[in-house]
Amino acid sequence: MEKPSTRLQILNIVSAVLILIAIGLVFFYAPEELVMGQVQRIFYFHVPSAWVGFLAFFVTVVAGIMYLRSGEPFWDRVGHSSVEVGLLFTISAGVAGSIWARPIWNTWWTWDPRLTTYTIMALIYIAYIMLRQGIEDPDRRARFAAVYGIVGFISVPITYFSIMWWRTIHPVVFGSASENAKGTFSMTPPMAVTFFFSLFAFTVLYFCFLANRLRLARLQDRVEKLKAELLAA
Amino acid sequence: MLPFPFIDPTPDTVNYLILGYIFLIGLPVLYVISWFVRQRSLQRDIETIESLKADEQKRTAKPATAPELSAKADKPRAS
Repeated sequence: MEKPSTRLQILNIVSAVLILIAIGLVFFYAPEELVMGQVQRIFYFHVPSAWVGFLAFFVTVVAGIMYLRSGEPFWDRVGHSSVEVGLLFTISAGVAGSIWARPIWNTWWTWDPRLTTYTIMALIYIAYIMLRQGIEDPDRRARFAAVYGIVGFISVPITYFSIMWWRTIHPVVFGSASENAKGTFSMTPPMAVTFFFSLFAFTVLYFCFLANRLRLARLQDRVEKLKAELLAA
Repeated sequence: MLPFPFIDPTPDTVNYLILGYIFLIGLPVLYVISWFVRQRSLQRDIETIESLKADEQKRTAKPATAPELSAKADKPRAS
């Protein structure tokens, strides 16, 4: 496999530095929230992780449309890689949210509208990965995945707006929270700085992960082609 | 420091914070490690396929040399 390009190496370093700064801000700059205590610091990485999940699934839609228009395998690779990266961050945000909920809501899990729609969204994208593995023909697989990626995205706005449409205990950081919400807090300026910096760092990290995952996807395609050639010979 | 009367002290939730960050940082780290594992396995696949291809080429090349071999065998010996 060829060495990563200079641009990718720079992106890797920049992402690592940004995440290290974000960790520093979370633990040494942002003040402790007095009602929830230290566990509130989970918020600074929980929300950006969930945001990266949403962003990744949106990129999959764009890649799906581009694939259906052009038939270029590159866009299929982008869609697949983006779903994988998005799922990683979706799952890590979900698990961290559950850990935060234990001391704040007094439960690891509840069938709240946000949590339920979020889980359905994650399952939809897990099914995307499974669907791909079930189809042998690369063209057919790419076409199915593109359409599935576009249709599956419906779950993302439903998840996002669920806290505004239904009565929920999930806190709302921006906008008005439901009267049942537990764990809402008002951000002080250092908290806002930490949060927005983390959001930026995670966005850069997403593109870094996507670029690296694309390199792996290219290698996977090469292996698949070589196998097909060998079988055809 | 003694807590102020009638005010609930801030709860000690450090353990949950640590657990949360283990997942928030640990999962992406594991994912990055998985790239290296998958990359190594794919490179091994490429090596195997290429060696199989080379074997296949050798085998297909053999019949072309067969008439030469039989011609050599037909030649009368010098002795």
